[in-house]
Amino acid sequence: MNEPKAGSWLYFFLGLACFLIPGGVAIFIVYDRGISFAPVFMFAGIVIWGGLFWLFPFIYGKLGKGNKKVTFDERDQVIHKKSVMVAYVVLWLYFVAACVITWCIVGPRGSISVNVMPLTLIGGLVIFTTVQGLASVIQYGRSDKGEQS
Amino acid sequence: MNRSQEHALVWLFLMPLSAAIGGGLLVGLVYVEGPSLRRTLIFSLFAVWTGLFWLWVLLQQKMRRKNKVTFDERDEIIHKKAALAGYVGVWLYFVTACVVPWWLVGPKGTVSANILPIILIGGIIAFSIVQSLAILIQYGRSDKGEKS
Repeated sequence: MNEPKAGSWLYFFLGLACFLIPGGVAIFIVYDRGISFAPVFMFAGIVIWGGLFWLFPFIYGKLGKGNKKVTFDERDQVIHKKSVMVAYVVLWLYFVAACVITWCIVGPRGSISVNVMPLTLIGGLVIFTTVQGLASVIQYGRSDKGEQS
Repeated sequence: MNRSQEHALVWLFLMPLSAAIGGGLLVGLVYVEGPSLRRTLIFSLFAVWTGLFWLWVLLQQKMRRKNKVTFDERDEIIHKKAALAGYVGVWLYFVTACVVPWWLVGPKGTVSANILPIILIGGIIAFSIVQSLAILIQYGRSDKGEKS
């Protein structure tokens, strides 16, 4: 199993926990103790970091161009790009479904708790991370093809 | 200016305008006349179509097999990069659109349900502006001899 493939498995399981738990904790803190800068800032930071974490391999790959040992080659880049695009498509469908279903259930004259909005965002992050990890793992294939980390 | 640049320039103005007018009209119609399955379905299809239109451009070029090449590998790379840039823009927009009302109203407050489709329309506008700008920037402002 090469390094990016191991990374996508790790991302698939750890990524969810890393973004879901602190995000949920931040929403709970705000709900329980009222609005304050620290938990909102923590939530925004987690969500931005989690949603744009896919940029990290590209930046890391560009920064480490001088290294002799290649760990993220063109094939990995194509796989990574494709999985981000697939995840983005699913994320968009999720946002449309989440917004339209809530709008339909409550009705145009109704109102919703404002907590629905950060929760929708966290849901989007979970879906994006899951789909991206799954798409990477599927593209690399289940079996090992002799790549070395 | 090649065909992709022309399309990007048109989309930069047309897509936000059509999303704002079309989406706004649909939301207004549902607000005035009440929700119905047909209107909700039209709005959903509108949001999916406009939000994933970049995918259609790539698929269309793959299906079209003509002798005259109007969309080569370079164009494909530029389009994919622009879609990813659009994604970054739309994610930052969604984070702002969700966190700011949460911050302003407070966790025990409520907001109108109409804010959700309006945020979605804003997402379409943010995506199309960032994507079109990314395409134009990647091609460069000046003409490099490409023909449409």
